Amino acid sequence: MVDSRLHAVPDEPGTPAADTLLGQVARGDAAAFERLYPLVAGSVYGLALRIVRNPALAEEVSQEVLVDVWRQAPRFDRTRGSAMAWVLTMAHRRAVDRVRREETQSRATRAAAQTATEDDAADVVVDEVERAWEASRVRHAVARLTDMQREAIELAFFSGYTHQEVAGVLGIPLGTAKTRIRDGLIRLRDALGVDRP
Amino acid sequence: MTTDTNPHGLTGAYVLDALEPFERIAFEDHLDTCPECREEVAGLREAAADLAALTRVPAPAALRRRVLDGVARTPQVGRVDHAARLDRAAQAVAGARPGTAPDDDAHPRRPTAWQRWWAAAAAVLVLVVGGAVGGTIAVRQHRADEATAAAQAHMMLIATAPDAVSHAVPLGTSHVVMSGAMQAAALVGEDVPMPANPGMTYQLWMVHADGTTAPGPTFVPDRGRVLTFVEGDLGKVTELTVTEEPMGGSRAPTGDVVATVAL
Repeated sequence: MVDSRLHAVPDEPGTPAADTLLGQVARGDAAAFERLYPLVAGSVYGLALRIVRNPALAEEVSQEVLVDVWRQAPRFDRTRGSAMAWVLTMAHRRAVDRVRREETQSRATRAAAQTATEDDAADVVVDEVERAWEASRVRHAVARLTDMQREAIELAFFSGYTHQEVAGVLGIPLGTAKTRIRDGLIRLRDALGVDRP
Repeated sequence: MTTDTNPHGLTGAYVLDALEPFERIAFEDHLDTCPECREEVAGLREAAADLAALTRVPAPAALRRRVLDGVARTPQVGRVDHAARLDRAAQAVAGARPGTAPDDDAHPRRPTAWQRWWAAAAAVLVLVVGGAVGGTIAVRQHRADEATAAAQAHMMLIATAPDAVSHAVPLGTSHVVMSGAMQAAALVGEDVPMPANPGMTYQLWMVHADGTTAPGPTFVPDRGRVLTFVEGDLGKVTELTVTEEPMGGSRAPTGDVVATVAL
């Protein structure tokens, strides 16, 4: 019914277009979902892949998340945050749940993989000027973190460690791990200028 | 120490899904009553989303078709009246300020506000175990509405204590969370079946190294959910067991053991 070519939207994460589209999806608009898909699918898949480290599994997780975005869209409230944050919150939770269930993959393996691919982020997003700018903005913000904050956030966010595990791996008290994660994220938030409720 | 037991300090770990399940449940209840934490969580989520975007890669081409097929087969959840939800949440919490920021809803997998079942629960038992093994035990029973806020705060304190440990309990999806520093433990569970024998109740028992057993609280799941507390020196307790007992509980176990946890 709706010709998606008439509704071209910039392929950039976090744009208001995604907020508007998700609002339409919330009212059962399947065509809006098709237009939302290219805005979020790459980020969902990329995040899932980074966490589960297995393309087939990442695809499975992404499929579950993206169908769930459709299913749960009526619960999205754009006054509380962006569509991108809403979608990626779901993606992160689902990917972390999956990786914690994967008993075959030891925590040690994941820690080693984490270290080995730490520099990959620099090569992930480069092809588009806008995306490169976005990435460099985020990387500049990440550079404002202390090494210890960055380490704690990477372990929790990209390896799916609980804060107790982060404390164990880094050999620091639990309270210190919590503080590092929170202080690091707050610094990141302030550097990114995304302090909006 | 202050930051260790302060729930406000958990926003970052919550946003990164780095809390243990029992901590997450407790923290989400805290969020219902803390506008500052809700606002901080919302801001940190945007930052985390920007961080996540660094990992962006082209999604496999086949994914699109599978997702759209899934969408075509999947009904949406009912629309949520956010204002009405907020109103109910505010009413459910004594002392909540009306008109505060909306509660956190960005984790769609959260079933319902736990307050609602706490409020609906018949009673919350707080059991105080005397210092001596098998010593005097005082049981304080509160009306649910009076106990809800206290139970919530108590659960939060135990779950966020620096020395908190969690053991899975083979009774539905349950955990017992204990803190030596707090001298307290909470049994929290979901999907707990009703006692097999009609008219019976579950009862928790503290088994000591010398084989003696101290009676704990009785509980019956409310829509599968369970929350009960034990307070006192649990250092000498080596095992927790759950039995089925007649209503009101027993002084010593009489029914079959339905779950055992070695500590």
